[in-house]
Amino acid sequence: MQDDSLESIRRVWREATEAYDVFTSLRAKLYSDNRSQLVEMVNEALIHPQNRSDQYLAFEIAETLTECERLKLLTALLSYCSCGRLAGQAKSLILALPRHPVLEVIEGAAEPVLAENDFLDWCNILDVFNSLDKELARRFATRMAAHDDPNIREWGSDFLKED
Amino acid sequence: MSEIPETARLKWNQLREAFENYITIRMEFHKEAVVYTVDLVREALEGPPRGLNQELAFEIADHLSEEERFQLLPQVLRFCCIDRSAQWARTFVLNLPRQRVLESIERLVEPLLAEQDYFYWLAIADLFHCLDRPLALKMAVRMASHEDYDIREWGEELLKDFRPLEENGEET
Repeated sequence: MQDDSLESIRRVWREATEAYDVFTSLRAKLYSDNRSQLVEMVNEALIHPQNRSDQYLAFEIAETLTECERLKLLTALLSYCSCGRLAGQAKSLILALPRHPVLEVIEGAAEPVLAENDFLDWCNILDVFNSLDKELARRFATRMAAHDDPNIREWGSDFLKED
Repeated sequence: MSEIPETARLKWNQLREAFENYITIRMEFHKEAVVYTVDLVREALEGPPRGLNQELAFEIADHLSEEERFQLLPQVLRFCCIDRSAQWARTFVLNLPRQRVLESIERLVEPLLAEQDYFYWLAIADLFHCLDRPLALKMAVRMASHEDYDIREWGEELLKDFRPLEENGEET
């Protein structure tokens, strides 16, 4: 490799280091000054993102929140379970939470998302429920099987048949 | 949820801009570095400890392909023995294909163990415990016959985990 190419790569590495320094310093400042509002800020960035960076940043910060704080993001995270590239991350964050507290609140947390009546939301929430608790999934699939929407109904019925 | 103060919103927006800038430059790095990415990450991992270079290397290493991450295994193992980076390093190793790691890890940890640092032995034993039971047993046996009293004592403690429960005085 030519020296000037390698020097150019090293320059970009240095720039990345500097940019990372600025980012981590601002993040540390937000943690120290606004810790109590952090979960609200992440929630807002997930629900009303100004752009895609807002969403990615929210997921980055969400990873660092306590389990108790992440539980407060459950509705927002469930809404991302059908959201392309972020779906896997949303599901992982939910499934990494302690099972018992999640099971206590997840049905209620899912309601605002389900109220949108988006077929993919229903399917993906069933998938999350199934990973969490088989009985919860069966109950939810039974609800789906009686839904007005034929697609949701069919998905629920198929799940029950395969169960 | 409660109202977010305007000052907090401002800080979030600044953070988002810094995040965007960082991600943009990192993407530029990946585009430019291509085949040299692993070499540069390795160089940073081997560099002076606790620097930003190393923190960036951790970040980039996490996003490399499995093959590329595997190439960094020798460098990452040392970080399993350093408190502040141990969790990251252990997750990194445990996310690699288990069989391939098992084929080389004993050889790769030897230079670390040769430093005869009690905490290195503990950290490696802990990593082996997460990786593979026979490997962990082998390590415990080796530790239990070590000339260093502390390593030997810890090895004996670890060996208790491999004895049947009744031998340890616990109910089955």
